[in-house]
Amino acid sequence: MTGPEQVAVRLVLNGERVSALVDSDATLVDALREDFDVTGVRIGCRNGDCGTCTALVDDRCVKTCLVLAGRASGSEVRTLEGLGTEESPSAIQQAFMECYSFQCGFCLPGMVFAAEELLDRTPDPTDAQIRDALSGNLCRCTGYQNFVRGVHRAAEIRRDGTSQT
Amino acid sequence: MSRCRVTFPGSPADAAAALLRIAEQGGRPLVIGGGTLAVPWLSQGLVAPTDVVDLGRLATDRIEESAETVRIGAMVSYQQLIESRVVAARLPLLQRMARGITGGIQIRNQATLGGAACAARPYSDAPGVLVALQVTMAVEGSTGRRNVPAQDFFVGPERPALSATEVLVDMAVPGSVLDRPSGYYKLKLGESSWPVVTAACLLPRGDDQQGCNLVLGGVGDVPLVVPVPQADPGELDRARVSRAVAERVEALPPDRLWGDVRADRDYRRRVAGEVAYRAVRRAVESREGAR
Amino acid sequence: MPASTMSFPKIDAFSFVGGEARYVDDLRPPALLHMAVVRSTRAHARIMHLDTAAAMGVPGVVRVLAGPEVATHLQPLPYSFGDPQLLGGRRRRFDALPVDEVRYVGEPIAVVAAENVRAALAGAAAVTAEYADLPAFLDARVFLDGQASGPPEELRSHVVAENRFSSGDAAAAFAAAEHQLRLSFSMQRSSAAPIEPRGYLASWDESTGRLTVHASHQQPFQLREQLAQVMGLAEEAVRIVVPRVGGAFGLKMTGPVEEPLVCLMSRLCQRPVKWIESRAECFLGGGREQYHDVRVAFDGSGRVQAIRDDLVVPIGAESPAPGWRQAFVSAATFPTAYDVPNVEIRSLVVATNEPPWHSIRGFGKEGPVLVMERVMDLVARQLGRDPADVRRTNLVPREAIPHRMPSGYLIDSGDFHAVLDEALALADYERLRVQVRTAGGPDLLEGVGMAFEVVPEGGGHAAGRLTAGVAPTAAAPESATVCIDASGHVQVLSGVTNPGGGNDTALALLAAAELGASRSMVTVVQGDTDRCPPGTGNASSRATSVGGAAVVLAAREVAGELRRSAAAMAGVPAEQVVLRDGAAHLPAGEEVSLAELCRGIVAEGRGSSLSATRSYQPKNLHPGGETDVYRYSYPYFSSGGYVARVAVDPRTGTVVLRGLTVVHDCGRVIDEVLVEGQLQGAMAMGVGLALLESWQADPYGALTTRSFKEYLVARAPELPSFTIGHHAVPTPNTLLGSKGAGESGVGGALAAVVNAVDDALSRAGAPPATTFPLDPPRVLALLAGGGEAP
Repeated sequence: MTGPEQVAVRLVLNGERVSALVDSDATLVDALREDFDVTGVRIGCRNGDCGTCTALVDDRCVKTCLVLAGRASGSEVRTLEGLGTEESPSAIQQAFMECYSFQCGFCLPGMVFAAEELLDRTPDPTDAQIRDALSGNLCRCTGYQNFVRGVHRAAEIRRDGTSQT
Repeated sequence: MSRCRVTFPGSPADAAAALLRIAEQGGRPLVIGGGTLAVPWLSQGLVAPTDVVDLGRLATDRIEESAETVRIGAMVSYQQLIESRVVAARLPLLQRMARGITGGIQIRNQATLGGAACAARPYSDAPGVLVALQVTMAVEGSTGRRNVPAQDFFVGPERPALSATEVLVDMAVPGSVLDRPSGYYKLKLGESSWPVVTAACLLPRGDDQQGCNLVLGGVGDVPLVVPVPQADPGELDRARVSRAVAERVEALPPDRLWGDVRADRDYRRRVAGEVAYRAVRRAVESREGAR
Repeated sequence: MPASTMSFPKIDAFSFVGGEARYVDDLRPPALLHMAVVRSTRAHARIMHLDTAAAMGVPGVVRVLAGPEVATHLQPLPYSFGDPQLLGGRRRRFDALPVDEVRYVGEPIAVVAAENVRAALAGAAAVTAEYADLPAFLDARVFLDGQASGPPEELRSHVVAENRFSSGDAAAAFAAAEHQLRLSFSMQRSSAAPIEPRGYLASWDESTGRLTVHASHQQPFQLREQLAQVMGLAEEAVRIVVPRVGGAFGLKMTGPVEEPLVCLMSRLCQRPVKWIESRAECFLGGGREQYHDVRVAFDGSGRVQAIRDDLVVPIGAESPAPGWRQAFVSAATFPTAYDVPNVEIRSLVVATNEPPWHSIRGFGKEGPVLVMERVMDLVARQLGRDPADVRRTNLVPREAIPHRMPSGYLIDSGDFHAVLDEALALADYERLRVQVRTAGGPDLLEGVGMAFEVVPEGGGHAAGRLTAGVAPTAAAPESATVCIDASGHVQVLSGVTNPGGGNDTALALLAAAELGASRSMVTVVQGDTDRCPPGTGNASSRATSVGGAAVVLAAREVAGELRRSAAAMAGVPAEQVVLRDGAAHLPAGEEVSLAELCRGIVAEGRGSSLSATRSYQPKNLHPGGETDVYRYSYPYFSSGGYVARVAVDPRTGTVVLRGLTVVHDCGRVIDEVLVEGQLQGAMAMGVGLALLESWQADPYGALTTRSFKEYLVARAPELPSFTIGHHAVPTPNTLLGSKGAGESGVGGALAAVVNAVDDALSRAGAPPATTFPLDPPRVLALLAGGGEAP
């Protein structure tokens, strides 16, 4: 029989070194929420379908419900909280606010990080490229239309640098 | 408290040793590759393993090109396949398949080709493509390494030719299939849907005497190799391909046809010829384009 | 400019994109326990034995509760939205957990509380049950046969209600009919599936005897009332707080048994207890399924003389939640926007051994829209006429509105012909109609389809003549408190809640406009039963139209007081004071800031703030010359014309939606961006119902669509951007003339897309599409000449 077991998880989380003893069968999304008090990743399906648990892990856009916390130990993790500030939001954050891209906001972790990764690779995407990039995230409120507008607007902000005050 | 013990082996041999230990103790192991299938089973309580072997630190995530082969590590992600210059130049079939993986940027970053192979789901993209590419699967066990041709690796639905103490190390793509014109077509019910029917096609390179490799996924319980008449690829019209597919499917015992919640056997059988034809057509087009 | 001062379409926008917004699962009080639910694996069975001992042995498990123990603590659950008899329905007793009989696969049979989620799940998995199976009733289509003579005796025990509505003399009209059509339609069961599932956090405080429940919920006041009753508490002892809600779409109304169970668990364990639904649990619920046997009589011009519909609506297992009430609304909404002189609707509402219905966006109005729009297209096809012309021939003309429907529902306002014509123009329908006939080829079939949708809204789903013995119905009020403090800050407290769309922004805008304040001076508080005046939460597309009216009335009163104070200071009549840009403007050109004014009022000792609370009830203006008296019912109808364009791959059956256009009438538009956001989401859901979404179970009643990989919801690549126009015909029944936005779009998009696919298929010789969704296997079956693929 196996007994209770925990694993030490050390992360650079939104720029800060953190560590905790985490149940070894816990997923990264559980550890981030339960042990590191992050709310910018959420649980919508625990199945890799909805995307709302998305964070950047070592600069890759990842669904954290599909990763055991122990595997992520040693990684750099960035969540919505670590992206921009109210005074200086990221281009995507700014554009999504301007364009009424989201309604309930529950899906935003996936939408924001997928859009960030798209614009990093493809600074001036087409509608089809945007829709493909967002395809790992489910939104039930918006029909995605204003997210597409928002990503175009963010591309514009990144080019013109009008996001910064 | 954890419901099970979790280990992170650092090499395929360590992983095999860990699996052997679990087997000797009468445990129930769960092996996690990319995590996109096994982690949800675990976190939703659909499986109750005593031990989890997480392959995240296996360092089998490289793509290596040699004179004779291209070796793809079991933990190579779809995004790595998309970004690899070698894959783009010599294995466009694999790259095209990787671009079409359901689940967006995140899943392409996380899901692995090797994991999809080991899951051996009849409807998924990878098995048919691996069979079409005549890949050799290298498997590590406690008694050493063995090679399994892809066609023998897929034994049945969700049944790979892996024992409980073995892990997949890499997949070797032979030189004979590199640089060949190829086409891939996937039919699914919607963006959220796993594939329903897939077809992968490799045409002969130039004027050499290789045949045309045509493999269907999602029709039988394992990838179906469709014998295609030795003909000028230009003559592979819809009727000829559909007939070849129909003959192959008819030859299958009914209980080996695949059906699931997405689509029944009948629908799969009806569209198989067309899906195959589209893969062939794309391959022919890529060959024309290369000229 | 810092983001905080910008006027985004949604107030408080950064809290969302910055990850700070708190949803119920983000709340983690100290000593928190987590609950998991043990569910029946049988569709219908007697519970012979339930063993919870092993679960108590799982590390971390604190308490396990099953039916017999729960029955000693909890009263039966009351029906939400009033007695079933309002809808001609039978009553039933509902206990939180069954003691001896389970009625569907997935029915809760026990609950487990543990120190963390994983331990709770392991505990739940350790509970074992032995059953003796009983016959399961899973396919209500058996009722379709011989429905005219009433349901056969052996099936009567499944009938929850029979709803019949008629007008004119259908039998005579059919006897004299020039043309007739008989059509069957099957609409699939579908699920609300918000991305955030249901969730509750119950905190019992033994020292005060108070229960606080944080809930992802649409109806905090109704939840308070029900919990108080079931727990045997005074309403004042229960506080409901709704944090951010990750979408609801009808799912999060009062009635599911987990609501009292999580509260009981907290009281028994003397610790806070949280239950968050899993995705597979969330998919158990469903709605909308209905089977229609429709007969239509019409003349050579396409004028429909009579319609008769025998429908069967399987509502799953009976439940106190309001979902089953949608069946009544489906029948009562016939014949939608059309003026059909002879109507006969006979609806059987049937209980099955599937999970209970939950409410879903559209609340039963999508089914009749789909059926009537299919009928209009097929009448047009039989006569070789343009479907637009057939609709024009049958739509209720503007001058005939207000128009009483056979059920007693009252169409209050609208200009259906104008809305349809504007939609056709916006979509360039005439050009599309030609184009789809010439484009495409053997590899691609193109189609264009239209739909006209009416959506009765504003609350009031029961209907009918108010004759002797019929219980009257009344409009539920909404209320709001508006206060402004000594710093000039405005607070709006409202009884309506926000499931995510942003009606808080609309309420802030309305208050700001009355007070001459800027939007940034206003905060909105919703969803807290201790702080807010009572209301219906989020239901029936009334948050802004009715809830907003209450805000306006309260704000007007505060504004009047401000004007009087400014007038008194300056010695001018109050009517000459204008509130604008955060200040009171006096005739001489001087101005006093609202903050300064309020400081003066506070200094006079008239309280720490200026405050007013008002409530508002929508009206039900009856048509002139009507002699019968009717129950109060839905006060306003929004309407819309929809045009869809699709391409069908005839060799695989896949459908691509190329475009979807709407012209919508929601009366006065309070905020265009918010209204269009509601439409976009609803239309996306409608597209999903047409092509993708389908709840499925195995032959034993167990759910097979347990994840988003089986229950297919539209993703970004398969939707086009929608084109939206407005045609506002204000309703006389609300203060602001605004009607609903929220439910509109589901039925219209669904019917237009279905009609477009059918248009494409019909030119390839396929029979009419009558079974939904039109997924690739079904489309291919239609093209092969059959329609009833499984």
